[in-house]
Amino acid sequence: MRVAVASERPETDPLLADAPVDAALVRMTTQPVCSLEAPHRLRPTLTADISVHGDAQLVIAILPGRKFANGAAITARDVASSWSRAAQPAASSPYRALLFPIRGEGRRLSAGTSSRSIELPLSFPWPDLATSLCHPALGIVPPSGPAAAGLGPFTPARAPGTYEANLSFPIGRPFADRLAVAFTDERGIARLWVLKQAQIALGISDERYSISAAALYATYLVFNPAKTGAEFRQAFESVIDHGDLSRSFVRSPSTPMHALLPPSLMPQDAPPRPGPPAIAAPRQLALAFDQSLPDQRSVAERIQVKLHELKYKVSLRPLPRSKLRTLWASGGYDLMLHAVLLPPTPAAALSLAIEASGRHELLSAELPPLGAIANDAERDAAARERAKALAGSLPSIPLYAQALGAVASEEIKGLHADAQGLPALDDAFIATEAPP
Amino acid sequence: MRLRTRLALAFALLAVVPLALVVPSSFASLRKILSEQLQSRVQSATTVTDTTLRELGQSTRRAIEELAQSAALEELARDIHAHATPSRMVSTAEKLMTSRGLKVLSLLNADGVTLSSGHLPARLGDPDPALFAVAQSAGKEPVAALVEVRGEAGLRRMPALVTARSLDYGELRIWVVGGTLLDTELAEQLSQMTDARIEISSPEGLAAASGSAEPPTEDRVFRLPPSVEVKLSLSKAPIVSADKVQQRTFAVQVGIGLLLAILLGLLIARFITRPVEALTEASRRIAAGSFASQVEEKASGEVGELVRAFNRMTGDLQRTTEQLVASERVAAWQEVARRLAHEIKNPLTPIKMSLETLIAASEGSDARFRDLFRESANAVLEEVERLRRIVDEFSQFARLPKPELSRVDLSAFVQQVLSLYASPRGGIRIATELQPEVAVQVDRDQLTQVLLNLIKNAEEAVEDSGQILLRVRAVNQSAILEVQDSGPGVRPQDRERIFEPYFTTKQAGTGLGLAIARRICQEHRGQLEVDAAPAGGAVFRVVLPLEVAAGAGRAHSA
Repeated sequence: MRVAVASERPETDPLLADAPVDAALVRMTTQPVCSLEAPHRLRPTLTADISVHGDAQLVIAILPGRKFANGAAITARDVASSWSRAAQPAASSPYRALLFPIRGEGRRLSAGTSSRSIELPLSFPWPDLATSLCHPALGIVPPSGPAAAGLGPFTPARAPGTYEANLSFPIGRPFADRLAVAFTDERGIARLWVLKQAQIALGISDERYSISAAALYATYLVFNPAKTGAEFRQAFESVIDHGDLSRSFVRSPSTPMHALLPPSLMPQDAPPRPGPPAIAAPRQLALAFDQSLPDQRSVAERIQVKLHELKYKVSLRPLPRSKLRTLWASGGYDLMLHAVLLPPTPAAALSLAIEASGRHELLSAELPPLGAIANDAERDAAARERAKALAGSLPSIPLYAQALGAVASEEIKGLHADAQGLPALDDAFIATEAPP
Repeated sequence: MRLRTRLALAFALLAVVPLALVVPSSFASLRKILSEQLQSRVQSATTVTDTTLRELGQSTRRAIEELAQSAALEELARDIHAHATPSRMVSTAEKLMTSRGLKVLSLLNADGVTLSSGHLPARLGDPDPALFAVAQSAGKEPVAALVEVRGEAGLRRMPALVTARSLDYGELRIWVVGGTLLDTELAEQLSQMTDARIEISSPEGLAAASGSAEPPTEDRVFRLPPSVEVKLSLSKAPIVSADKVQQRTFAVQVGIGLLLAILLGLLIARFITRPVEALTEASRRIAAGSFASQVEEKASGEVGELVRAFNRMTGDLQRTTEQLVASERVAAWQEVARRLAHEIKNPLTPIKMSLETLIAASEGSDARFRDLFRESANAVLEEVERLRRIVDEFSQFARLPKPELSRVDLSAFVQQVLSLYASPRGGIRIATELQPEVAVQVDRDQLTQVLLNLIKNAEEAVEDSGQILLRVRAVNQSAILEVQDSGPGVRPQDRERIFEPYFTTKQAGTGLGLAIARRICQEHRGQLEVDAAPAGGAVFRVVLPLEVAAGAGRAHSA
């Protein structure tokens, strides 16, 4: 199966591979302990079941025979260390918010009594913990590191751009024996498509998408009020049209965000734009953004141009994603475009949005009341309400949410997106014509 | 000013004057050459800059024309007609701009709204009044405009050379406005080509600059309508520096030349003036009485002839002087002998007469013989005593010993002499006006003899009553001792003669007192003078060399 991807240097670390294309590629080789078929319906990968015991502890028992692609058995220690990577402050990862309900915020995870079970004591009831553990950022990586063959339907072969089917993938082997992946840009994808040298194209902007994926890759403008001034949010909203950003400067599929959570998680309408505030004196601000994302560059430049009309002098600061995360964790930024792949459940997504806004301390106040609601629908509704309430107080402005644009040729069947919005390439197959 | 100095200065003047005449003209020529070189550079740089700016405008116009005819814009028009996703147009202009070497490109619709911007993609959807104004201007020639571009610290306005072209696709009109930035890159390019400092400025200030030009500078300004200027500056510092170096070199050369000229002049002048100076020195010695002076310098030419003539003259002078001195000495001794004989002959007559009287009396058995004998014997004895005294004084005059000098305070000396020896007769009053610390080197005994002689003469002059005033004072480098009396004074015709031996105006005088006193003064390198006192009487003045400079003391009166 020939796949063309609009990415020249894909990220392989699950903690950093949160852009839709990167996450889709990582999903091929490294998956978490479960995957989501629907927002609240998970399919375990390593365990028979993931259940909460008495609202205080979650026990995960790894089924026997579960192996990495290289044949090494997957142990509870591998799982614990994979999650601890995200929880450690040194990782500077916003996805640590997904582990916040675990006692010690997941930083001191340990294997259980046996090498096959892991116990997660909870600080407070959090029914969405199981689905949170299905987030791609919490993929189980082998002890040798995220670049090695992991837990996924495919495994990198020796030849560049070639992925072999992982015959020991717990869910079952993929239909395709091999993926030939071409890493290029949109122009290259178009050329390959015309030449019929690609059967699946990932990360393109096209109105004729083959799969319908939820736009959960949310981009926020986080700001430091001490440096931007109290009137910054009003100034920004007065000159920036979220719809204009999504329509003109960001590759589709994208949707503007007018609330803390994207439209796929909560309905929202564009509010009336305020008038420009009175700016006392010109401010000099630096806007950091992910240099590997052309969309962020376009948006950053647009922000620079529009804020210039209000006498803000904005200098652009493109950074590698890892340094951007470090900058975010240190809080030493004026303005920063911060994108995270939100989980499909509103409560977990809210925790990640709060974390991405740099208000980690709010989690202990916001999450327990939500976790106390056992009913999924009611908890989701409550999370949406809290998202509305918090939107104006967090030092962040939601800008837009993106999904992965994927197109498949006619002979490709079975390609679909999971609840996280990522394509399940292992379910895709090439339909051959029936013999005459 | 000495002749040697004059000659040295003359040599220096001869050395400097040609330099002063030649060097300034050389400077002027060199300065003119350097100035012409600068003007040539300025002209070349002006031509290069003007040509570059013209070519920039022409290439901009060509690029926009080519772009207007390209298929890319037709494709863009189709996308707009098809209501394609605007995000696809974000980078459209940037790709077109880069491929055609432009730095500014905006695709505007008929309302001036940006369809796509190459230099500022984020302008998409916004109006761009500055470039739309260029689009609406009638001319096709590139004009300068201020465009907003990204900078390190936000947006900034930069001057650009832009032109516009409109395209109509059915009802859709697209303005293609593009050009090149007049930025630091262009300034660096021009600076490298012209080796000058380039400044590009707009009404908002300096936009770009490159190169350096140390002041003072020669400037040329190129105006890009409507309001952008490109200023070219070439440094004139090398010319100024060369001028200063030349001036310093000239000053050093003149200094060294002057010094050498003076030294050489001194050497030559010394060679030339040495015989003259020797003549001068010899003349000075002759004036001082050393008639045997001869000039030993070897000289040739006129100076040599002068030296030889001078030596002949001094030889003649010495011989003549010796003859004159010998003649004077003979004459003096003749006069002394005459006077001595006269003095001696005077007592001889009474002696002869007394002896003849005695002989006559003894032959005649004169009863008065005894009385006559006694009178004649007394007369003879008296005259013999007179002769002895004449002989003693003459002997003293002739054998005056050499003075033994010692330091003497003249005022103290006068007071001491007055207290020890002077005993004026009744009716004569002796007064003093003595300035202290008037020291002289004298033979105390000889000066005592002089002073006593002068006092005695004064007593004899005032006879029974009158006043004698002794005054001591220092004038310039001389110590003066005056003895003033209130007597009748000395007649003017006798004032010089009274110092001659055996000249006296008194009955009992030998005429040697003042002669001896004057000679003592002369032996002390001094002088004895006589003058009339202001209030009558005579004043004798002893003038001696002052040993040390004495301060003007206050006179004491007794």
